Parts: sequence; C-alpha cells; structure tokens
Amino acid sequence: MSPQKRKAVAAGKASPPLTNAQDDNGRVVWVVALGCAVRLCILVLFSDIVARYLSDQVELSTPVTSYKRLREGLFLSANQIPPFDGGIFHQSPLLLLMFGVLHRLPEFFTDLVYVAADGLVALMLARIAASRRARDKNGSPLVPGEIAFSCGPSIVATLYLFNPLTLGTVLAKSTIVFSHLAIAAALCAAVDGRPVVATVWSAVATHLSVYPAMLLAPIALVPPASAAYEQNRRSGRLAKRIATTVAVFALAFGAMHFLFVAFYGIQYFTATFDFVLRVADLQPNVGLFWYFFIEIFDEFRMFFFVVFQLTALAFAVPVAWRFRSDPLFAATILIGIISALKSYPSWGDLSLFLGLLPIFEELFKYMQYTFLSTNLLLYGIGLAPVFWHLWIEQGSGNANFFYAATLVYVFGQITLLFDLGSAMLRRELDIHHPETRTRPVIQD
Amino acid sequence: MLWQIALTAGCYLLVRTALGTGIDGDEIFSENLLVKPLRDGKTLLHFEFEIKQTSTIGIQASQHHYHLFPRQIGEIALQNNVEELYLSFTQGNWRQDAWGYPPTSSQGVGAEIIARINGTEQASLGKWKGLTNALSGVFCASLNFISDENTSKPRLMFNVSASNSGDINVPAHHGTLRHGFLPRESVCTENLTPWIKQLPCQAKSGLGALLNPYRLYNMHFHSMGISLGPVMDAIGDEQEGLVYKQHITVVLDPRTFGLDKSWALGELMERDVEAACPVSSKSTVQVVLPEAGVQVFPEPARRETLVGQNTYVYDIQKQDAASIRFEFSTTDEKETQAQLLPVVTAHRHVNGHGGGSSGGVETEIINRSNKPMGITYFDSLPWYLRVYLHTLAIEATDSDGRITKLRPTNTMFTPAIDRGRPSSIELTMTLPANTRTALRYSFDKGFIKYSEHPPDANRGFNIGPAIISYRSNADVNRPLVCALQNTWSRQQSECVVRVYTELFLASLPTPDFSMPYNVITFTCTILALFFGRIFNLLTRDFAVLKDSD
Repeated sequence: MSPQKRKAVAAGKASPPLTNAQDDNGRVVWVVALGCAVRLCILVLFSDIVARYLSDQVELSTPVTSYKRLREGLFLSANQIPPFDGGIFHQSPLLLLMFGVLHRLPEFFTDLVYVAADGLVALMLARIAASRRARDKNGSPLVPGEIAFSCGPSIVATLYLFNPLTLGTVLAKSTIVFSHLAIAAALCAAVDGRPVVATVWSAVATHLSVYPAMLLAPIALVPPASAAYEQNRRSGRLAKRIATTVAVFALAFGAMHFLFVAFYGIQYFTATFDFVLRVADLQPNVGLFWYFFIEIFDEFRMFFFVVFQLTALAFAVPVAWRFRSDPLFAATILIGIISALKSYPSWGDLSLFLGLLPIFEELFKYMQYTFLSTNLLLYGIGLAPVFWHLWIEQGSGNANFFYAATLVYVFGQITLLFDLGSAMLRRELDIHHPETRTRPVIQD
Repeated sequence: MLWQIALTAGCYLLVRTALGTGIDGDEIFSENLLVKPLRDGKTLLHFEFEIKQTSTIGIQASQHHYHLFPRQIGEIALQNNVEELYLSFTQGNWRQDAWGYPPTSSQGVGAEIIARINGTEQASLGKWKGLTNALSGVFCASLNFISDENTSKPRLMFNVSASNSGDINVPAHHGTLRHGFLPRESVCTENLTPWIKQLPCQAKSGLGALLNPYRLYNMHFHSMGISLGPVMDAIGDEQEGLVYKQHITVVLDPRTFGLDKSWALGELMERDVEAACPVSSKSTVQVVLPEAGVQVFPEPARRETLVGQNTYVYDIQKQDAASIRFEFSTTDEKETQAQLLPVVTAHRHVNGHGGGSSGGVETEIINRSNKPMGITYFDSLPWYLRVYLHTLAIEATDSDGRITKLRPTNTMFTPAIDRGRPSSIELTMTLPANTRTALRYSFDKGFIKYSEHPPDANRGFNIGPAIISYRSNADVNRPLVCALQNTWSRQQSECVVRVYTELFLASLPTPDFSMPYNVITFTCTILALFFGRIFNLLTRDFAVLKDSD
C-alpha cells in the first residue's frame, strides 16, 4: 500500500475505492477457478495414484465420511438390502440419493461435484471475509494506531483451496466436504444477517455430521441485518432470537430425521447418530477417541464416552456467550473445538478451521504461541502417515507411534485454539481501553 | 400248573426280547466300514453307524423308550425342537486333487453345527443356544462359543435335508436353519469317548472295536460327526421315524506305523475285533480297490461296484474284520487312471499382505466336467472383516485362456453387524464347462477392543471355509458321498455334493497390550489441558498490572 493510502486509512477517513472490491471479486473468481482446475486435473489424470495412496488414508477418510463405504451403501440400497442394517454404512441418506443419481453418469461427474463443493466453500469463505471487511470499514472500532487491514477475500480463498489438507480431503473424496459446505453456508448467511437461513443450513450440517449442532449457539446471537452492529442488550429481543433459532432448528432437523427414520427404520438412527456418539467403530483416525476406547476396560466405557462427548459439546453456549460481540469468531472457535474433539476427526476438519483463521488476521499479532502450535501441527500431520505405515504396512512399529502423533496433532490444535481465544480477549481489551496497549496485562 | 407254564412262557419271551435279534421293536442298527487305499499310499477309512427308528412320528413325539437310540441325543433334540441336526468335528485338509471325492460332506476344519429348528427366527434363537450348549456338554467340546457372532442363516445353501445330503431337494421346511462354525476347534480323544459311548455296542464288539484313538488321531485327515434327521423315502417325503448316523472318516498313512507292504486291518488300527455286535442287523466292511497294485485276503462275501471301482464286501458277523489283509505290490503308474479327480474342486486364499488393514478373499473353483455346472457358493466372514460386496468380481478362464466375466443368477447377502452377526454371502451361478473361475471380493480389517483379542493376538483369527455345493448325477466318477447314500436308501439319480475350501488366518492390527493405563492417562491429560485452557479463556479477564513500569 502506498504511504498516502496508509495515512489516509489510519486516519479513519478514507474508504477503499470501489475498484478494489471489484478487483478483489475478480481475483476470487480466478483463484477459485484455478483451485477447481487443479483438483479436476489431479482427479482425472492421476486417478490411480490417488486411489492407491490417498483413498485409504485413515487421516483423510473416517468410517462416517469414507467414499468406499458410501459406494458400498449405494450398492446395498441398489440391491434392496437395507443399507443401515449392517456395520458398514453410516452416512446420510441424502448422500445416498445424490450419489445414486451421480453414479449412473460417468465418473467425471462425481469428481465434478466434489470439486464444485470445495469451490463453493472457498467462495463462501471469501464472501464471509468480504462482508466482514465491509463491516469493518463501516465504523467498526479499531485500535488506534493499528494499520487497519483485514485479510482480502482472495487470500482467504487461496489459503483454503491450496492448503494440502483440503486438497487431500477432496482427492480422497471424503464426504466431509458436504458438511463443510453446509457449515460455510450457515456462516455466510449468519454474517449476512439472516439467522433463519443460517439455522436451516446448520440443521443440514448437523444431519450430515453430528457436531455442527454446536454452531446453533453463535448463530442464535447473530444480530439480524437491520440492527446496528452494537449489541442489542434488550433481553426480550435476545430471548426471542434464541427461541426462534432453536425452534427453526428443531423443526428442520426433526423433519429430516423423522422422515428418514420412517423410511429406513430405527436402524438409521443407530447407524448414524448413535454410532457417532458412542464411537462404535474403533478405526484409527487423527483423534483421541479411538485408542482410548480400544484400551479402556469395559466397565468404564459408558462413563468415558459420556465424558468425552460432554467435553466436546458442552462448550458451545459458554464460548458463544463469551464472544457474543463477534459471533463469527465464536463459531470459528467452536469449529476448532469440533475439529479437535469430535469422535471421528480428519484433516479435513482442520482445513476448515484453518480456512476461517485468515479472516481474523488482526489477531495474529496478539498470538503468543504461534511457533509452538505450528510446529506441533506440522509434526502431527507429517509423522502420522509415516507412523501408520510403520505400524500397519511394515509391522516394525506399533500402535503407540501413531497414537503419539495423534496426541501431538490434537495438542497443537488445542494450543492454537487457546492462543486465538486469548488473542481475541486481548484485542477486546485494547479496543475498549486503548490506553492499555503499551501496559503489561495479566489474566485475572 | 397253568400259571407255571405261563410264567415260563413269559420268562422266555422276556429273555428273548432282551437278547434281541438286531431288530428290536422298530429300531434297526447297521454299521459299515469303507476302506479305500489312496493313490499316494495312504488309506481312507470311513466308519458309519446308523440307527433307524421307524415307529414314532419324527422327533416331536416324546420317546419314552430308548433302546439303541442314544437317550442323550433324543432328549436334547426333543427339548430344543430340533428337526434336523448335523454336527461334525474335522481336522486336516481333504486333498481333493490327490484323494478324490471325500466320503463325507464335512470337510471344513473345525466344529460345524447345522440345525433346523422348528419355529420362527426369534422363537428358535433360544432353542439354538440351548442346543449348542447341550451338545457342548455331551461331546466335551467348546461348542458353547457358538453365539450370534459366528452363526449364520443360509437360505440357499442347505436347502436339502442336511442330514441326508445325498437326497433330492426337499421342499422348504417350516423351521429355521442355522449354521454355526468354530474354525479353531480341535478334536481329540475327549470328544471321541462320548461319541463311542453312543454306539450300541460301544467299543466292545463290532466295528466300534477298531476305533483306537492312538491311531485315529495320528492322521492326515479326521472327521467325526453325528447327524439326526427324519427318514426319507425315494421321492423325498418324510416318513415316520428318525435316522441317527454317526460317522468317522480318517485318512491314515500305514507307513507312519511301520506298516509297509502288507498289513491287516487289525494291525493298522492295533485292535482286535473279538465278536460281532449282536444288536446290529447289518455289519459290513467295503473295500474299494484300485485297478492294480492291491490285493485283499480273504475272499469277500460278495463283490460289487462302487463309484466305478471293484468293491469287496465282507460280512463282519461271519468274518473277523481285523483279519482282512492288504498286500501292496509295486506298480507302474498305470493306476493314474484309477482315481479320477472330482468334477468340482475349490480352493480359497486371502489376498493382501499379512499385516495390513485390508485384504481380499479369492476363491478358485475348477469345473472339470464337459457341461456347465450350477453351483451354490456360501461364505461367511466374521464381523471384524468388513466385506465390501461392491468389489465382488467373478471371472472364468477356460482352457484357451479366454476370460469371461460371470454374473451370479441369485445373490443373497446379509451384511455383518458389529458384534452382532457375521456377514454371509450366498451366490448361485453356472460355471461354464472346463473352466477355472476366480471369485474375489475385498474386505477391510476392523479394529477390535483390547479384551476381544485372543491370548495369542499376533496369530490372528481362523476364518471358516467357504462351501460350494452342486448336484451330481454322474454314473461314472460318482461322488463317494452319493454312492454311500445308496447303500442305505433306494437308488437316487441326483445327489448334492458339498466341497469345503481351506481356512485362512486373518491377523488384525493389534494395539499395544502393555499400556492401557498409559493411554488412559495421556488422553485424559490432553483433555484436561483443553478443558483447563478453554475454561480459563471463558472465565478470566485481562487486567492491567498495577505496578508502574
């Protein structure tokens, strides 16, 4: 940025010229097109390498998102065998419907759908970044002296699309991309100030993977589009918003759920919802649950799965309330918690969290443990496939190697989460009491 | 005076009845031993003991009078509403390519129970458990490990009467058929002893006297079993009555015992037969001879032709079974035409390397006949091998090397439920003439709990065999099973033959068994770190340090 522009922006008087936004939109479109093209090329040209090396990676596909299991579920339902009457298929019937149609077409169309889903997620993230930047320019309180910039939408899209974790997830055809699509749509609608649409999308996301139910809490606190940015403290309106959100969610989710239970029987519930909550399949993944539930004694199994699920789910409302001034940030923290503590996590969950992070670029300078969390994540991600190979393929390592890499990965995510949260709190302090910027502060 | 005559007459009748003439009331006991020297120098011995009871209306009527029929079996069958039962313990592989047709249907290594129980699926489940537990006690075997996890309900495979598998297809019964298999079950003297006790003459006289466990378990193949079912007539209708058969099939190598060129049956089994069994109505030894190279002394009571080969039949009530002598002379390999290979043989193996988290099953079925054969294929994998049926591929290669893809005419697939039931695949298809068909599908290995691994975890799990059945109506090269059925029942034109494949070992990836506590500690530490930090975030505020800098 030129020095004149810098001064003008710092003075809080200049507004960015319109061409910048248009340029940025153009850039976003280019970035998304390039990302989709790269994915399609790899999927079409290198499909056997992808099938051999990526499709079976446990870090990328889990029992609830695996494409191979989806194909088996399709095969079963095509042959009049109930797909949920077994231990293989645990995904949504909506996916059965969609892929049932897609599988009659050539393979290329399935690839196209996955790539399009990923591209749409990137577009929505860019849109969230753009509307947040627009909101920031419209008088959001800034810390004096801060060079006010927020991450450009094209940068957000680039960082999401060309993240190797995202690339790996889409190449492995994990169905988590559809859940991310629903989450991104929910966040996009929330940021635009349409909480009802956001609630419906989060009901879809909950149907696809159970944990986005937590996003209901920040969405309920989103002010509608017409209200001003300042928090509306009148509890009557807040209670009304919460009640509306919960009611819409219950209606949407309940309708879908009861429809499918009526069609497939109670096995549908046991195979999808209940399956995720009680961690029935102990296939290794990059989370904490699998090894713990392999080794735990049978008497304590029930107690511990209640504890684990509560730890994951119980922070929805507290986090949303603490960061109620910025519901998008609360949603980001919750997405981070989901990624670390859900029962069948994969690298794809982390990629959505990392995709949302650049939107909060102003927090990066407040973060204290960046080196630690980056290293932990890199070690965890880099070593997990190596240790898996040592354990399973080669037989010279044992399960503890992979488990250790998993522990490091989750700890890295937790450090990142904690760091981000405390950075936000520090910044809020700076916003409300700008004079403390240069004074040492402690947490009390 | 009159009463003395009456008393004497009564006593005489009583004694006469007690002694019996072999046909006591309506029970007929017959025993048969089939001896067949095999091509590679080993000897096949197949004992069959049959008790046929023709009076009562199947098993359902309560039988208060057990004479020859073993009371244990009768009461167990009655209590558990069993219509048909087939139990066998097998050890060793039947080498189809070297030994030809087996004389028995049970070639699957381990313990196998097939039972048809009266009632619906739900109602008969309790009876099935009662049956397996009761049989476990009777035969001192761990059949009580047959549970939901290794019981399947095949619908196409055992459509014929399981006990008389040589008979024509019986129309659908009203009971539920269950198949339980324990591949790791071994068989030993402990199981033989209660089995021998069920014979009317036990090991004291008749052919039972030849059953020497020291010889029976020093073998290349051993199968011991019982079967219980209704009496069938020629058209396959059930008549009144019950048939209870006990069989032992064993393949011995006489050279193991130091017997080479000339040995008698008594020397082979190291037992003498002191007397014939007085309650048997028919007691025979059939010796199936190859074209050349073996001579048998003494002269048989009669000669006949069984499976196209010369058979000497000896009547053991007149001839001492132990003194039947075999003389082997060195022959040139003219006898290659003596043992024709079975029309359909099958082998199964597992793909994928020994460790690994996935693999595949490949079964090769060879059809040697000149016309297409319709077969039924049944395979049941436990729940921890997650079968992907969409990967099923069937390819037939004929003698010119051309490969054609086959499609099954009927498929019945029951997916596995974790810790609930095994997966079961049943296919009917037609194999083209003179082809090798490869049937393969893949599976993923599941990860099981710490406590579910067996004590020697790295050995892996034995996975039970696949079963292929087909109908044979050949006159030449007739399966031995069918020929043996004809010994007892009328001439059948078609019989059902079963072929079992080998087992394989599936070794599942193991966790580290030495550190459950460590794992719990580490994971809970991470969770506590998360909880503590987020809790801090939520409840604490930043405050400015009061000290001036």
